[in-house]
Amino acid sequence: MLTRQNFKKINDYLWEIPKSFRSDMQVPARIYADEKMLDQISRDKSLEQLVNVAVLPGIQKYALAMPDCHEGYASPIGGVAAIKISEGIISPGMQGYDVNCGMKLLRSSLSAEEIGPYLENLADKIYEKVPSGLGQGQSIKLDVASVDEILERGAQKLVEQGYGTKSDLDNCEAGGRLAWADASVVSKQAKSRGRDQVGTLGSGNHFLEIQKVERVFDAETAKSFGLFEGQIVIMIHTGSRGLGHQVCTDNLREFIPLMQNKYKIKVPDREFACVPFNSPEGQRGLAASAAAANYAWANRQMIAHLIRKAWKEVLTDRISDLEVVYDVAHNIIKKEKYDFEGKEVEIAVHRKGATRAFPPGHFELPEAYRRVGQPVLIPGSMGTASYVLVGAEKGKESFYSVNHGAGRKMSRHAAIGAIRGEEVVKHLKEKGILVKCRSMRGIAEEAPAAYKDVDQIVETVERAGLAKKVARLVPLAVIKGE
Amino acid sequence: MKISGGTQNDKTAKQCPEVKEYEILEHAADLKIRTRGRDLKEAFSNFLKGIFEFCRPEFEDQKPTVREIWLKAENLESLLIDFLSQILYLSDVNDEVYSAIDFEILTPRELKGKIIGRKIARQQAEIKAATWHELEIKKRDDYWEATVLFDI
Repeated sequence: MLTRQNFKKINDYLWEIPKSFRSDMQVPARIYADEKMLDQISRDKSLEQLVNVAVLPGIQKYALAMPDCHEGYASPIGGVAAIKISEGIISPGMQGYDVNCGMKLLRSSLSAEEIGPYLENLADKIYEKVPSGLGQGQSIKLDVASVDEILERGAQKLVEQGYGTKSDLDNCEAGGRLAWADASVVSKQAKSRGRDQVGTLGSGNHFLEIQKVERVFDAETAKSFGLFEGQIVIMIHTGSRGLGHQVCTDNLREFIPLMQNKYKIKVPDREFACVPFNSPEGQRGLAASAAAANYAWANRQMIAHLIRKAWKEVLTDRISDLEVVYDVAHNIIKKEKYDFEGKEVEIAVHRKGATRAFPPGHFELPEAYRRVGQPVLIPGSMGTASYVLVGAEKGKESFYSVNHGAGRKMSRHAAIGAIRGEEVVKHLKEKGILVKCRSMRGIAEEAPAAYKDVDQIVETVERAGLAKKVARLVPLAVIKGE
Repeated sequence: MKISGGTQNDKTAKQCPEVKEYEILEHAADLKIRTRGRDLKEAFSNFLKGIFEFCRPEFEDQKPTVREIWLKAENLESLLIDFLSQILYLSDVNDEVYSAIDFEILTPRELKGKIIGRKIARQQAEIKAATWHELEIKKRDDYWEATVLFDI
């Protein structure tokens, strides 16, 4: 059990659990949090799980936890592990089952005042066009060959078919496609699950929101991102659906016996399920994970297309194009290059509930953002604010990673026991926020009271220097799957 | 906090009066289900009841569907995860929820049987996967107990 004496204070927003805490730690563990948050994080098993991350073979510098971190399985949610590819492992469990769960933000040229009379119709139309996929998939069922193409070419495939524009791909992490994906290593079961789920939202904390840019903190960067105060934007939060869940399930099922019997890797929780990154099995697992990530980018691209259709149908006399601000993953394994004492080293950054935040000048950013840095999309809990941040150079210390949201502070069951969905809807309505969701239990589970305060979390990220605030977004309508 | 599911049938209740068919245990973000049963078959099949309660399905029609499953694994824990993963897979691709299983074979390395379900119109929640984190299957004095954390 970790106590206060185990933490070394690095500064007001960064704490360290030294390598000496447990003999199997390869590196220290670091937590971005203020003192109050650290107390809250210490209440569940997050930090024990973070110490377990520090054990992973090939981990560099630190096992990292973001300020929204909470207990998960294997790594805490909000965990980052940077693994040196040449001597380390790949761990699908350090990425999670919802491969490439992430955010996409669309901007309009309309203001909240202009959208006012259309808001309810627009929310209804989006709700109608984007099914949850829980018992009702998309009406189009793809054949396996089409699924294969999506697995290998991601959002690019959809744009070629007319479901978006080239700038959608420019403004998407990795251009909406990881080139090392290979459809042939993805199981038939995973592909079957993917046949009718392109363009579906899922359940849990996934959502669509019509939001207003309430406040701009950094006018110049906001201008580069095409954002202005009072503007209507639409946020999408979903991932790779059943296909991704199956890919991760398959990878763990294959890797656990290999880890124990063939590679004799010892980890404190078999859910990490790791094998050497450069082993044949590791490379296959990487290719399958990348294929699932591509599927997720295609899913968010299709949802953006469906939202654009809804937008055009409702706003017939006030059509304004919806453009993509950015699309970024928060559950992913990515190959990235870092400079270690003058030498370029290839790192497999495992982010589980953590968002990539590249700084100004990063070569992977599209030209439009290279000078200012990457738009970083941080959703709040239902009915609370979300943020757009921009990556900063100091973020290198966290392998250019920040939080992925507010982070739960109450379990789903505790939330159902303490909160009534109907009251949440009523309260949000009083605040002028529409909620489109069938399940009152789902609303109770995701109620704002079940989450930490996103404003404080983002403040901590900024004060730690990992990213800077650009704009605060507030919801006008929340659309949830079920 | 623990939220308990239904109790075993009368016969079971007489044998082990404190035993619940399943409980949903506290976890910060995910779904932790502990099942109990007079034998391994009940401990396995009670997961279907816990999953059913969590997903809260709405049905398309009353007609039951029956599907055969046959799995082999290297040990009992792997067999349980394979069983639950297969249930989640079949549920997703067929838009069905399964509430019971009629076992033909259940040994620590093999499972064969028929799962009974119904077509759903929708459900309120979905389970992403059965994880290996803190997975446990134990034989207690006179009953079996199994605990699995599901990603939701």
